[in-house]
This record gives sequence, structure tokens and C-alpha cells, in this order.
Amino acid sequence: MGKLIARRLAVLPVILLAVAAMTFVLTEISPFDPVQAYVGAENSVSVEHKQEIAHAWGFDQPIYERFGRWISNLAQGDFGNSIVAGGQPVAGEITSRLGASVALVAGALAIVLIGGLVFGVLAAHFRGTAFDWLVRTLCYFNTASPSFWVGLLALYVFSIELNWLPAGGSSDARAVDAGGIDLEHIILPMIVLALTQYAWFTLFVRNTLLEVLREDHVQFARAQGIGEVAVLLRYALPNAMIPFVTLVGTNLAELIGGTLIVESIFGWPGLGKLSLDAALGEDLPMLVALTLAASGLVVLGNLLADVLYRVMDPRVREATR
Amino acid sequence: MSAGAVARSTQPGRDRALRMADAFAHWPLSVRIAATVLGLLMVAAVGMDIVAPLDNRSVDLDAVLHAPSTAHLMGTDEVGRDLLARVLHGVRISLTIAVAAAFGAVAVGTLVGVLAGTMGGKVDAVVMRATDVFASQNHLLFGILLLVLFRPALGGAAAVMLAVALTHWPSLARIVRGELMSVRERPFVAAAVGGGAGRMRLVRRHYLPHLMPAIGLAFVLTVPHAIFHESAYSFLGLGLPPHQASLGNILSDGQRSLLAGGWWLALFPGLAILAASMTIGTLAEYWREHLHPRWRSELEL
Amino acid sequence: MRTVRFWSVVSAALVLALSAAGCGDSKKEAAVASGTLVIALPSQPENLNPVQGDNVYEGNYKFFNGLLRYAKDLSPEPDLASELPERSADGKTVTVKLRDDVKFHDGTPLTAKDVAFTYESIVDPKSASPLATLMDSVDSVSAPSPTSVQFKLKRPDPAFEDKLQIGIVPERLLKGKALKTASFNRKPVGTGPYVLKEFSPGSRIVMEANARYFRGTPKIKRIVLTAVEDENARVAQLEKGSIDAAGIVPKLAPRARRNGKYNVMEIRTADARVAALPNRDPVLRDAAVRRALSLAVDRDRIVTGALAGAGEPAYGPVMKGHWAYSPAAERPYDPDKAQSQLDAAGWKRPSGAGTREKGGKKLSFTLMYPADDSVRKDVALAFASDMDKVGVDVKLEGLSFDVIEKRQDKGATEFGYGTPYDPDIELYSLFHSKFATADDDPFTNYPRTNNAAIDASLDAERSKSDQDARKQDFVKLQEELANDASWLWLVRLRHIVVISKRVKGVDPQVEPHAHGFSRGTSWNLEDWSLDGKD
Repeated sequence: MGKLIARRLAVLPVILLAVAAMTFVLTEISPFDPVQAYVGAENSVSVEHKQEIAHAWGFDQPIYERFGRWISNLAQGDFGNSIVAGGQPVAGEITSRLGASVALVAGALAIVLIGGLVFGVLAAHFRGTAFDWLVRTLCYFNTASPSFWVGLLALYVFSIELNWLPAGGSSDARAVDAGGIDLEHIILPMIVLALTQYAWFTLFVRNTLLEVLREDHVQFARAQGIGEVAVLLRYALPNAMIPFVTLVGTNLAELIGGTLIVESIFGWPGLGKLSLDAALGEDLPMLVALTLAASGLVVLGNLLADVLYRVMDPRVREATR
Repeated sequence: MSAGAVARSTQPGRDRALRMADAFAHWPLSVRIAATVLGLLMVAAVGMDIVAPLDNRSVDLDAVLHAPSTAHLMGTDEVGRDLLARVLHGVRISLTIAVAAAFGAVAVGTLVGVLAGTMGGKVDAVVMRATDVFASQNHLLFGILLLVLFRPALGGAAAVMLAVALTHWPSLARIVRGELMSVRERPFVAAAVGGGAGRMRLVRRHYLPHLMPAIGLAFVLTVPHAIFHESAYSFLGLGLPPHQASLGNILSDGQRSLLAGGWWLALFPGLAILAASMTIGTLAEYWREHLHPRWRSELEL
Repeated sequence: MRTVRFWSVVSAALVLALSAAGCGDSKKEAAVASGTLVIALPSQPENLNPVQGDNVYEGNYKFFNGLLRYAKDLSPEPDLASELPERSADGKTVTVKLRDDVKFHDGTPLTAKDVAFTYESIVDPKSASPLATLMDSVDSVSAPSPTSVQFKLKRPDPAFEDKLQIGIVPERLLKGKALKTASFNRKPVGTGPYVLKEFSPGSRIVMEANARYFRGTPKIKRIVLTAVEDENARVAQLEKGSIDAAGIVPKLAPRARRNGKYNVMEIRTADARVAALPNRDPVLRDAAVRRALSLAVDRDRIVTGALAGAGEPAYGPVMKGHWAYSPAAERPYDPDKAQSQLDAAGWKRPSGAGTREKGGKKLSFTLMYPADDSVRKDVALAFASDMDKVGVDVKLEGLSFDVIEKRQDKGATEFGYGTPYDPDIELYSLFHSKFATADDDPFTNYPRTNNAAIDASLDAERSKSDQDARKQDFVKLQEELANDASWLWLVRLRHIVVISKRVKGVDPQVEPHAHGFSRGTSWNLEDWSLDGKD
């Protein structure tokens, strides 16, 4: 297992390099002027000063040098200064907002996994009944409903009209200590974020379970007289969980994207909202850094999924030892 | 119609219509509902464009934010425009852009997939690694990066199409490549190669026709995603210009007026997106069940 | 065994996830400080450095003082200065005497060197300060003694007292630093009544009363500025009591009024929406056409429809009630007259309906506006509708200013301008032909007007110091502007500000063009007090 982790972690910088190269190429071929972004969108910057900054980032050099200089800056953790963060370094801004997004995504992931499991199993167990039909139909509606619409309606109904929950923000503005994120504030955005993934995951659990239930070893268990519930939970489910685990990585990647919309609707001070602000402010240094951060997170998420996969399935562990 | 296969019908149009109606009747209920709703939506959207073309100047500052009534079935918006009319226009605009965007994604994906599949070897490896890099990107985040880079020059609509195309092509490329791999194994390919067919000819005359159903299905499956992305980008302010009636724009405009009593502004545009997405998705899923059941996980875009 | 392992992994993951999500909520029960005022802003101010502030009116978040400040009636009065500035006979030297009892938040005393440093930084091209154009009359600034500052001007600038409101920064902390990226921008140290306690990016700014403030400690000990972008959320939070004050959109004012715990104030402002018509556009180059367009705008309707009644019609750059105002520019809504004037200019409607034509060309132009502003969009829509009624086709485009500046000659743009202070600050660069050059700055003379009469009145008002004499020049200016009609003034907004009834001492000034909860409301924040318990 250790070798697997080490191998994957070694590949991570290569992947990040590839992603950085891709964004570099895109920036080069696009009509967008990156110098403006790195200098800051001010009209009153003198020509000499612009040249100074351009030189620091290698914009006045041939493309290979430019790329090399850019990569070496990135490797040292210097992502440039952010326009939307008052000229402060990009890296610091991202780390300061990371926690808020992690909390949101972690909670949403938990809801997706638990809820998906529970309802997927129940739907598989009660297959063919009205309950199953209801779960499936609701899931189909959910997958087709745009997340920003659901979020808007949720904010409106629960926070504004019914007044059950706060209307946005991560904590009570009056609180003395800002370190915390309170449950009251996180619950609604967390649920809305979970809803972006929940439906297809539930359907997946259900469908995979149904397939597994047709397999020989399950039939054998049934033939032995083991009750249906036990068959489901002890024989079918663990096998279905193996592909399920690899999907955690996909879920995570999608949830990261979902924060873009959810955080902006609920005013949640995390990386999603930062990404949106950066896009609206044409803050290229910030966007590039966020792209790289997201790529890194996805790779790590997949690694985590693979590790879990091996933990849970002894056959694979044996094979990879 | 006679039993002889050679006999030609005297009314081919009517026969085709009858056959289609027959097929329709055999579809499951959900699929029939989906097809009907979609059909109605498209007729209404196109019809609205003919009967009352989108006119941003039809503001009516005396009718600001009226709730749904017999005069305005979906109410009016913050400058007094009829919401139903705007939503129908929005359906047309959003669908048009989404279809074009999906087409772009499929075009790029097919190109790359065919390239990798026919060239094989090192080219294949390099191309697939590049595909992996693109595939690892989160769609929305990468999409907004592309929009920032290209929107000022290309304009909202073209930039959105580009963003959707560049974020969705990887899975399509993988599918096309996979299909191509399996087509390559078929005996008629060996026969064509033996007959001296060059690569391009192989592609054009032998591969592509067999790939078409798969490509077509992939295209239709991509459209709901494109609808979501276009309206999401527009909602966030990075897509179509704000006065254009994209469903995302209408929702975004309506967002400000929610508390001034405009719940209809949030509800109806979203319902339209839902309806368009769901109907197309249902039809596409049904087609997939028929054609390619094993695609289940690949096309989770 | 596999099942046990499976479920244990799952439950471990769940526990981990839930604890990550739910951490920190216990602090909510801890001291919710009494005597805290919470103000909601539409976005978090990213840069608290007054030298980098967008303009003289904002960014001065009570951490700083300027040499002068505005009294309630907008007349300048001494702030860090001990008395009003002295001018030399030729008006080109301005001497300001400083108070000697002012300390920065870190305890160091304020001296004239800090003032000199502040203004030098603004003028220095290397720091790329957005205020550089404002201070263009400054030739040099020096500190002849620790309590005296001397400005040498390139010209006798009658509006100079209005430019001395900029917050003074400590030289010690900023000398030699790159101002655009200094950490000072998020950790400001000034002389102001409030000290920064906490800056949570994307979330809130907490300030605490400065115990050594030279005018006495402010009564409200703690103020939180929280960023709430969503308009509805702001009103909802007001209703819940989680915030005490906010600026809101006019449409939501009736709802805010229904909640009896708040005062809903409609503040008169100079903030106007205006369409700048490019002189080089083939359709708009004819002044007669532009004048006709102005007659065709139903400004009252725009106020009731697009502004929900919170505003007034605008006909010129100077607001009613200002000393420089002239009613000469006011022309009532008259679409019939507009139509006949357009006919006379040669633009006729084919068969009496549709878009006007002249020599095969249509009377059509583009109006661009910043895409993220919904009020501007609504005003633009109303404008286009009025134009359509008289046969003028207006194409609307919501864009960002980066794009707009590249299309300066290709379409009109809807701007927001307005100053209740000295008009020269804003109007010179907006109208003078000096700024009609091929520069890329859309914020100076966008239409590229080159009008000798306008230039003459601007140069004249700027060269005098007597207000009555200057008023004559401004009256002439407004008449010429109405004649030239390159700027189509539409409406002047009222800002709606909602403040809890617990807050005492609120007395808003007339506000300039601003965003959110601005300086016109918070100018005397340090004198406010909170009634009763929390």
C-alpha cells in the first residue's frame, strides 16, 4: 500500500505541471492580455512600471523562457498577487479561505454518501414498489434541476419566507470570535451542495445493487435460506461498495465545482466564491492558482478512493502486495 | 402495404408517420410524456419567436413585478415584461446555444478519439494523456477560466460554446476511441485494409458510418449538460449578455426581485430549464438503454 | 469480516466529515458583544489603503483621517489640520497647519512628514494610484516643520480644499514598499476613530473604537462590516436582526418599512445615470439629433418604474440645490417635439412607423452598460423603450469596462457620475477637449467632445477663486452642455439606507456616486451611539 501511495504522490507534480502547461498555452493563444491581469487593471500604471512587472513574469521574453520563469515562480509558491484580494498574494488568500470550503464540501460529501447509500439500498430492497418509483422519480428530477435554481428556492423558502435558517454567511456577524462556522449557517448550503450529487449517486447505488443481486453468490446465499435483508446487507452491499468507493473521487471533484454556485448564492466565504469573484474581476493569477489547487485536490481524492478500495477489498490488496 | 419487400408504398410520408406513431405508442409512458412536453416546448419557443420576436424594448414600467394573472400567466418582471414570453424566448436561446455547444464538444471529441484510435501507438498514448489532463479538470471551474480568457473577444454566446466544448470533449473522445477500437476488430475492416485502403479512407468510409449512432447518442446525451452549463454561466454573469433572455439571465435578474414579491421570477425559468433538461435526458436515456447499456458510467458528465 | 471492515471505514469517514463540518459552532453561545453595530456592505472592501482607494469618497473606512473633512452641509472643515488651509496670493501655494496631538493606532505621533509622504505616493507614477488624476494640480509637497505641510500647485486650483480629505498614512510603515501589494492594504494603521481588529477575507471586517482618538473615544465600541452580496439576504438579515444597517435596492424599501424596528432613509444623492454619446458615431455626430433624443426620454417614468420612485429626473451634471446649479438645462419630456426635430434633421420614418432612416442609413446606435449592475440595466431598458417610441433603434449590450474602453467610439455607454462637492473635481476631465485624445481611458471625456465654448467655461471656472464668479462660469457650462447634448442625463438616484432604530446620531449628508453603505451616511459614525441593551 505504501508503494501505491508513494507512486501516486510522485505523479502529482507531473500532473500539476501538465495542468500548468495547459493553462499557460490557453492563456497564450487567447486574446486575453495577461500582463493586465498581473499588473492590475489600473489605467494609470506607467509604461516603465508595466515593463518592470512584465519582466518579472517573463512576458517580454520568448515563449520558452516565459514558461520556464512562470513555472519556477509557481513551484516556489509565488502565484502572483491577486486583483480581487487587494493586491495580496494569491497563495495566502487561498489558504485563508480553504477551511470554509473544506467544511462545506466535507459535510456535503457525508450527506451524499450516507443519503445515497440509505436510499439506494432501500430503493433496491423495495424495488418495483411505489417507494422505489418515488425515489427514482425524485432523483431524475433532481439531476435535471440546475443547482443554482434549487439553491435560490431553498434560500428563499427556508431562510427568507419561513425564517427557519439564516440568510447566508458562515457565522453570526456579531459573534466575538470569528473562527467558527456554525451549524445553523452551514446546514442549508451543505444540503444544497449535496443535492447536486445526491441523485445520481443514489441511482448508481440502486442500480449497482440490483446487478449484484443477480450474481451467483447472492443466489447461493438466498438458496441457503438467508433472509433478504441479510442478503442485501452482508452479501450484496459490500461487493457493490467497491465501485462505489472509486466514485468518491468523482463526487469530490464535482462537489468542488458545485461550491462555485452554492457559495455565491449563500454568501459563503470559501474558495468557490473566490473563484467567481476572480472570474468576474478577470483575476488571472487567482484563477490559475485555483485551477491547480482543484486539480491537486482531485488527484488526492482519487488517491484516497483507491486506498479505500484496497483497504476494503482484500483480493485487490493481495494482488497488489 | 403488400407483403412483398420489393413493393414500394404509394404514400411514403404517411407510412413513415404511421410507423413513427406506432413506435411512439410502444414507448414507455415516461418517454412518451417526455417527448410530448419537449415537442410542445419547442413548438411554443419557435412559435413565440415568429409571433412575437424578442423585443427588449417592450418594457412596461407601469406593470412592474405583477404576480401571475390571466393577463400575464407567469407574471411580469422588474421592468414589466411578460415572463411567459421571456421564458419561451429563453428556451429557444438556451436550447440553440446548448445544441451548438454540444455539437462543438462532440466534434472535438470525435476528432481526438478518431485520431487516437486510428494512429495508435505513441500518438494514442500522448493524446490520451492529454485527454486525461483535460478530463481531470472540474467543468465549472475550468469553464470560467476559459470564459475569462475568451469572452471579451468572442462574446458571450461563442465563449460559452467554447467553454462547454473544451470541458466536455474528453469523455466523448474516450467513447469514440473505445467504439473505434471495437470497430477495428471487425472483419470488414481487415478486408478493407487488405484491399489497400489507406487510413483516411478507412476512417471515412468504414469507421465513421459505424460510429455514427454512438456519436449521435453522445451528442444527445451532452445536450442537457450543455443546457445546465450555459444557464449556469449566464446566471453567474459570465455567459450571455444580461439583457439577452437566456434562462440563466432571467433567473439572475429575478434573483434581485425575490423579496419584492417576485417568487415567480425564480420559479418559472428554473422550471423551464428543468423541463428542457429532463425531457431531452429521458429520451436520450431511453435511446441509450436500447443501444449502449454498457456506457453507463462513461457518460456521467 | 469484510462487512465489519466496510462499516467501520464508512463510520470513521462519516465522523470525520461531520466533525469537519460542524466545528466551531460552540463559540456562538459565547459573548455576543453588547454595543456592537453590524453594517452590511454589498461586497467586502478588498483594499483598505486610502492611497489605493478608488476615489476620494470611499475606502476611508474610519481607520484614517484626512487633513480636512466635510461638515453636514458639505463645507470643508479641519480634521487633522488645526485650521483651514492658507493660500498664497497667487493661489499656487497652500499651507496647512497640523494638530500636534494626533497619534497613529500604533502610538507613534502624526507629523507633517506623513502627510507629505501620503500625497507624494499618490502623485508618484510608480505607485499607480487611482487618485493620481485627482491630484494633477500638485507640483510638490513638503513638510517645512513637523506641524506644517506645504503644497506647491501647478495652477491655482479652486477645488483644492475638496482634495484634502484623503486619509493620511504613516510614512514609517509604507516607505519603500510596493503600494499595490503591501500587507498594509489589509492591515491598515491610521489615526482614525476605529482600529482594525479582524479582517476575514470574503466575510467580515471588525473594527474597535480607538481609545486614543484625538476627538475622544467613539461611543460604539465595536463595529462589524459584513459582506452580504445578495439583495434579498441583506433585507432578510435586517428582518432577523442579524445586521443593524445596510443599503438596499429601492424595490425592497416597502418591505423594510413594514418592519417597525428600522428607520428607512431615502438619501438624496448627486449620483446620476447618464448616457455618454460618442461624437464620432455617424448617427450621433449631429448635435440636433442628440438634443432631440434628450427630449424623448420620459424621465419621470424611469424614476417611478426603474427606481421605484427613489430618485429624480436629471438634466445635467450638477444636482438641484447645489450652488453651481442652473435650471437652464431642464427640458420637459416632449416626444412630439423630439419627433419633429428628428424629421427636421432629415431622419424620417418610412411610412410613418418603424426606425427612422436618412440616406439609406438607419437611426440606430448601441448603448453599453456595466453588466453587473441591475439598476443600470433597468434604466437602459427604459431608455431604449423610450427611444423606440420615437423611431430610434437602440441596441443594448451589457459588458465589462475593459471591453467598453476598446469600443469607445462605437457606441454610447451608460455611466454613473455625480459629485455634491466641488464640480471641478469631476467635470473638467469629463468635458474638456484636452481629454478627447486617443487615450484609452473611458472615464475621461468619453464622447470625445471638442467644444470651444465648453472648454472656455471650464478653464474660466478653474482659474477663479470667488464662488459667485465661478457660478457664472458653471451656468454657462450647463447651457453649453445642454446645447451640445453629448451627455444624455437621465435620472439622479436616491440611496435607500436602512438603520436600526437603536442607532442614534445618524444624519446623512448628500452623497456622491457610490456603492452600498457609503461615506455620506457614515461620515459621523464615530458620533453614533447604540440605545438600550443588545
